[in-house]
Amino acid sequence: MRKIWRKLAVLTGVCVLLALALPGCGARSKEEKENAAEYQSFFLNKEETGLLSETVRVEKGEAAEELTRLLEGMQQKTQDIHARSVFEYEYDIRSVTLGGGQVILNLDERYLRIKPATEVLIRAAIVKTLTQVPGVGSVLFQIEGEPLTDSQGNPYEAFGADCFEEF
Amino acid sequence: MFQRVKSLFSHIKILRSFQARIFILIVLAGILPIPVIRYGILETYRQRTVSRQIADVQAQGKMLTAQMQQYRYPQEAASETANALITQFAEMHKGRILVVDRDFRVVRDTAGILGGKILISEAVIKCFNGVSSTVHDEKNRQIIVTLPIAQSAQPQGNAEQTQDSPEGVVVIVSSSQDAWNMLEMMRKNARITQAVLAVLIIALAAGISYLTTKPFRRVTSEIRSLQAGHFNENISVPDYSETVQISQAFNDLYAKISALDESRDEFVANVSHELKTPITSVKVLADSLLMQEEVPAELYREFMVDIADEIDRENKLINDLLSLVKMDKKQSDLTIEQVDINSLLETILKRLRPIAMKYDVEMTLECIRPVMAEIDQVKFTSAIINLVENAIKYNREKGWVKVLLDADHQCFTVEVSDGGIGIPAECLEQIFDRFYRVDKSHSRQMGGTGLGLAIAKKAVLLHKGTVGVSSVQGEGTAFTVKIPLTYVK
Repeated sequence: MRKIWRKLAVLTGVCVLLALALPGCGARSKEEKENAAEYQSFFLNKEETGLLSETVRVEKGEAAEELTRLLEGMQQKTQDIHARSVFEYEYDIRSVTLGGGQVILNLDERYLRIKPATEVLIRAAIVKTLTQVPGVGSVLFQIEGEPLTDSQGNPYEAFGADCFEEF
Repeated sequence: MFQRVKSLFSHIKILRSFQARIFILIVLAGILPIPVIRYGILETYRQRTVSRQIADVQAQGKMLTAQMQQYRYPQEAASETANALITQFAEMHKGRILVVDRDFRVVRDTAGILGGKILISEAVIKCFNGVSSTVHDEKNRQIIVTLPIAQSAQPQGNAEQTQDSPEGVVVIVSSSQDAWNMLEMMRKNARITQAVLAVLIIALAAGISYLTTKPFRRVTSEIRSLQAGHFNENISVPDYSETVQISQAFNDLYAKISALDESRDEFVANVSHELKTPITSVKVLADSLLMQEEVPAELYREFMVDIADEIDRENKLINDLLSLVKMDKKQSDLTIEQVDINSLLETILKRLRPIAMKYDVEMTLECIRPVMAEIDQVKFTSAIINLVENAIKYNREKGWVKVLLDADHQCFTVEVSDGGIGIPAECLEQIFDRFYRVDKSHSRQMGGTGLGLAIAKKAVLLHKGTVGVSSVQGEGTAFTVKIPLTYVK
């Protein structure tokens, strides 16, 4: 009989603690939600034949701040075992500038060594991710400060999200 | 599962009918395969049509890419001839063609939607990596074939397998709507055919089930006509070996019942006759005394002795009938006890010795070994008395009767043999029947009731024993009674 009372007391204690803790969690998560912006971050699939995406949360701020945070997030290895980050390839970002609704992404020359079929996917992933940031309409790719060119040597203009289509 | 189906069949009255079951079986066997066959045929047709169309599109697509290569397309996408070729191809296939250059830019879209866009479809990427692809989009009813346009400077070869980066990629979207329309029409026709077939199968099942069970209905009808009073007729339904067997079994049963019926009639007639005979004798004797005046006392005495004899005979007859009826009633009337058979037989023979002396017959008892058995003493005694009494009565002057007792580990046997007149072979089968007499002319003279052997046989059968008889006319008869030592219910 005494054991039953003890068990009941422990159970009641656990219930009280949970009742106190849960609203706190909820409040904290709600607060985090209000301070974060949700974006779809794009990746390449493992076979490098298409794009995948996952939802990421970035702390709210100025467009440039959110852009930086988003790019930092893209540089980290993805949790998805079927996906590859666009920054897993051997090239570096020289600079990122935002102005007039256009992001200028200056990359190093190693970017040109990437296989064309993979490169176009990387470009699409970056454009589709970054153009979600409010105030960012297009992305201009530069290699060592010069505009990225096509196979004929013609420079590409800035890419908007609608430049890329999946059929 | 089987039990549930069985229970269902036994609970629903109509499913207990053999005809209904045959009907259901035929309907199921006929109708169930139809949708399967229909699906199989249509699916095969669909697959073959689609694969044929895919092969066509691939073959024609390769020709198109080869021509485009000649026209240096897509580098020179302004070529009118090449564009006309593409448009013609798209119209021919009721579809759409997209041409993508090596920068993944759509240089031509016959639908005019994606021109100038960068196409990053998986199929296009794969094609640039050297793997052509073919997709059948069933939802949108179209076949999508992606083919590479080889570099102009390179000799033509197997474009699918080329490892060099192609000059561009052609995405051919061909409508498979025609094939689907044809398939839909076939489906519609198949549904109508299926419905017609189902109706035919149901009609056929109804006919077959009716015809199959007709012989059984004939059996019932013939039995009913027998019930209605058409006696002395055998039923005959030779349609199936099963109905022949049923008819034969019924005819055998009917013959047995008829024989029993006749035997009962004969028994009633015999009983009436046997009971009436002593009464008639008494009546005649009494009347003759009454009709005469001053009858001498000796004659009175003589007639009264005769009357007393007839009354004794009547009494014996009634007693025998009663004991036979009692034995007929049930087996539980037996009072089984452990009995010394040797001394019982001695007692029986002792009781019958006066009769033996009267008929001048010598009686001997031979016991091979002492026997103890579980029997109903009264009924067993009655059986042996009847056998020995018969042996004495149907004997010769200075004849003999021998009772032999023997046993093995299971049964004991009592053999009652005599050197009497014997029984004709043709009568041996009937001697245990009630009121059956071998020599009808001497029966009254012998004083028997005609029930003795019937009683004896019944008493032995109640002990789960057997009684056998062997006889040679003019030499004698031997009855052998065999009874188990231990009574088993």
